[in-house]
Amino acid sequence: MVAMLQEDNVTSSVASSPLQVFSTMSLNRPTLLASSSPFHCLKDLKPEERGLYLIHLLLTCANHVASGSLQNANAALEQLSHLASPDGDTMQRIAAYFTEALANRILKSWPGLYKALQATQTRTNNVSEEIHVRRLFFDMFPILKVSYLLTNRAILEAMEGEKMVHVIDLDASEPAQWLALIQAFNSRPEGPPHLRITGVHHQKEVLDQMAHRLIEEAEKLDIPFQFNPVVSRLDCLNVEQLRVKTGEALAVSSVLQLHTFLASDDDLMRKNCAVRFQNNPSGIDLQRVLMMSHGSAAEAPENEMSNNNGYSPSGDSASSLPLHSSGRTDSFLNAMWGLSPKVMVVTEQDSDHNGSALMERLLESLYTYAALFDCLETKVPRTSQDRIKVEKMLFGEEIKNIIACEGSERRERHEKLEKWSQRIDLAGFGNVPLSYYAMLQARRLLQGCGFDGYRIKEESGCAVICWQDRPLYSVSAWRCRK
Amino acid sequence: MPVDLDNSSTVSGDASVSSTGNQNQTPKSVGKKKRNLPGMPDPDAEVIALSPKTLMATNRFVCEICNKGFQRDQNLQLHRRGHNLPWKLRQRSSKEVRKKVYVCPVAGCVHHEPSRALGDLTGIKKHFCRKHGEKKWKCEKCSKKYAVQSDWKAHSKICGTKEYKCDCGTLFSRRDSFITHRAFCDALAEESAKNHTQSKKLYSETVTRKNPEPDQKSPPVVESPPSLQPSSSLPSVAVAPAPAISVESEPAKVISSSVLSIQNSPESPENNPPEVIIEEASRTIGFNVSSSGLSNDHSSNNNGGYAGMFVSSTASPSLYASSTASPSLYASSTASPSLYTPSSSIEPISLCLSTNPSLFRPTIQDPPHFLTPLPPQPAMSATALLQKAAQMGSTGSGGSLLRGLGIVSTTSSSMELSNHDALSLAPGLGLGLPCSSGGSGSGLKELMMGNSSVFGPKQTTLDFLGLGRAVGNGGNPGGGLSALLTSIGGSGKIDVFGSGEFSGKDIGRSS
Repeated sequence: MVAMLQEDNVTSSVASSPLQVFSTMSLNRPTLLASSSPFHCLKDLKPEERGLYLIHLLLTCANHVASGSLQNANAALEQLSHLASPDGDTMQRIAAYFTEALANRILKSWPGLYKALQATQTRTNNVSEEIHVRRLFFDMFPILKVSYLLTNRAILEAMEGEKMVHVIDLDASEPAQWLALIQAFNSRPEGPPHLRITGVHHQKEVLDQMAHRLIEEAEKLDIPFQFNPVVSRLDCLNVEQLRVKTGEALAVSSVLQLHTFLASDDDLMRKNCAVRFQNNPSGIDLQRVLMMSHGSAAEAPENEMSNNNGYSPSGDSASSLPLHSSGRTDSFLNAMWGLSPKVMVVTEQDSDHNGSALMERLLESLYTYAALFDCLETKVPRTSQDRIKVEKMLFGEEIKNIIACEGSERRERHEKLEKWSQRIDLAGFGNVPLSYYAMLQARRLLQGCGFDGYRIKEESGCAVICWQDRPLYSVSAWRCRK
Repeated sequence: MPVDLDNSSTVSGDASVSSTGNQNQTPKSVGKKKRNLPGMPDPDAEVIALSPKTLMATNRFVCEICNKGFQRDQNLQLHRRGHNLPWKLRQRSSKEVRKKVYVCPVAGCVHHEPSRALGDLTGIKKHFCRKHGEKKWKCEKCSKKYAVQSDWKAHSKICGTKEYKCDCGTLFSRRDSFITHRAFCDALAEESAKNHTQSKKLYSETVTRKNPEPDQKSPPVVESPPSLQPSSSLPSVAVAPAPAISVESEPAKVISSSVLSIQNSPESPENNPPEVIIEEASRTIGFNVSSSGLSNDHSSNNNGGYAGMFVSSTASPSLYASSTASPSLYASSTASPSLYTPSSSIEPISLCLSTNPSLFRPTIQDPPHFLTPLPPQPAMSATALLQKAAQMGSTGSGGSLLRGLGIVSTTSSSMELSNHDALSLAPGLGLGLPCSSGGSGSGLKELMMGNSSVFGPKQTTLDFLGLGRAVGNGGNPGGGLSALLTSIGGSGKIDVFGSGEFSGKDIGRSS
């Protein structure tokens, strides 16, 4: 029996977001879901079909998780776990990590169960593994390299003519950044300045290693140099520890650190909800109350939340974009402003992974991590253990955090560049456009060394690193505006 | 009168005349060190010939306490502080230092001449070791030996990392030599010929037909074929295809245009577009891209040009048609989508759809993929899959695909919820999705839409039962099929994307 197949005329019922619609297709036969045997034929799917099916399953599962229908979510997870695999092709890998994240999320709704399981799981995150994975990320992607390049150039340009330079690194884990700066300072026409670098990190070993490398290099080049380690987590950092002297030419470098501050804000916001209810005339708090009562489950009301978060603790400044309430972040930025740096360079992810609704975050992060996994696919063979490590320990953890965690646990709160710019601007900084030369160097870096596919574009003075057309990371420079 | 030191002479070789004037030059400013052009040493510089022993010495300054060696006196002094020894850092000498250039002491060496002296002490040391020294450093992976440690380090970093392998077995470490080789490689031509199983017959036909009809090319493609013809070592492939060539040879055309573009580089260096296209080709391996570049003559010849190229090619109904804009190139006929060929090219179409050079990227390491548009295919990139899913969502054409695969998901209640969610999320997502596809998105969507129509007619022999295989295997052999039938209902039309692999396989099974 052979039938002629022609084009289908069925139109989708919901003419909204395409991907969402995609997930709602073919909703006709719940019976088949029950049977487990379709699986083996599913394995014969071609990669492309399997990929599409995976996307479909992920979205469906997330839908179920968001709406609380755990039975269906469970069924979807079952199918997902058959098809997804951390050793498969790109889509399979992404699906594997997202599946894990969704499963974790469901598990967390039984906190007792979750904690009981976590207790016996030995988290062998030894420091050297972490360092190794960070190094792999540095090697496999040009992102950090470009960021360091742009940071250093911004610092160099701001410190023209300065004899004493103090640089604060809010995440001192990669010596390469400062090695390059030291060398650049060495070859500037007026000779190297007296350079002081303060590195902040929560692991002492990392700081020791960094100190060693930098001091070695500085001695070789005969530059007066000092490295001050500060062993501290960033959110408990006391600016006094940084020992900034007045009148120093200060530069601050923040690479992928600022977004963690947003996490504590969310918690604060929830706790202070009642208080703000009285203070805030804008009447958005009904939703907040709702949100509090729903706890951490993402519900439809939360969709409205993000739209109405124009309330900003720093005043009545009209924000064109809704900002999540940002107490901690603002206070940190204010503290930085208080140090009056000559330049502050911020590298952040440029994706909107901070939506309050699960589906929002899932959809956005699907695109972002699809791009990142694609990068790996094109650069590193599938069998590479290093690649699997990066995918699992770096991206997998990020995905898990974005999808499964809520409140102060969810530290990976990536936001778009616009929002960051607003925030930093509000804290009293003015944007310093990255120089033409810096962008040129960055572009050259991306064009050489086999980093095809990456692009760097300029957006109001800031650089955005994209994979194909998907913006991934942004680098921007700011100066203290009195 | 020029100052004449004991064992040196001015570079110009003529002590009296030329340097007199230079003596009265203002001393160089202490700020920026002026660098001479390579090969032209400073004429009034002091020429120094160091002994071989000095040149080979590594650590000239040694600490008396611990015998640690240093290359510079300054470093030794700093080190001495650690031993609480008296130390003194030499200041830069205030008097004007005469620039020194160094010659190699070995007679008969090129750099033995003062006119070929090197300005850098480190440079002359390295030169001496390289040319006149013993090669003590050996690369672990290959058998290369080096006399200078830094050379060895630099080599071992890249040894084996980038390797291009041609089908004929030759290995290359440089991309440019690899591409040039491939253009001429006979083995490769045969390989690409072999892979066109469908069009093999016609391919040879086109091959023979091409040669006697070179004039069929239209003017725009001035740069390519004529120059290729005489010297082409791939006579069959290089020439422009005749316009009247039938459908099945399209893949061949693609190949020819791709090889064409590769060949262009060595053949006609003076023509910009082919070269740039080679660049493109080498960088992106989108041979489709390159040939559309040929046809459209776009100036967007860098990475950012993909979008441009694809958008420009949306004029023709499918990407394949445009990129084998060989039809438009070489003849005025535009290939219509229905000309499209058998199942094996569907995947490449979907591949091409994903404007992803990322897709093409792996093929640069892997030549067979480059030139053979037909699979074994690497999987579609995840970004492309997402875009495709989004596309399917927006056109509604994919629903039946999923039905065909037996995908079921939600119950009706959650359907409502998800609809609700979809509605509320629509603004953000609507924004998010097209934006994320960026510049190529519009073109892509058009292409995809174009292609969905392409898919339709093609699947004429798709086995209904083959579809049923996915559905019906599991516990519902007859039931699943009937469910499929009923769900599809009155329209009786199914658009199933993907290859015809389903076709014919399970005819026996279900009936």
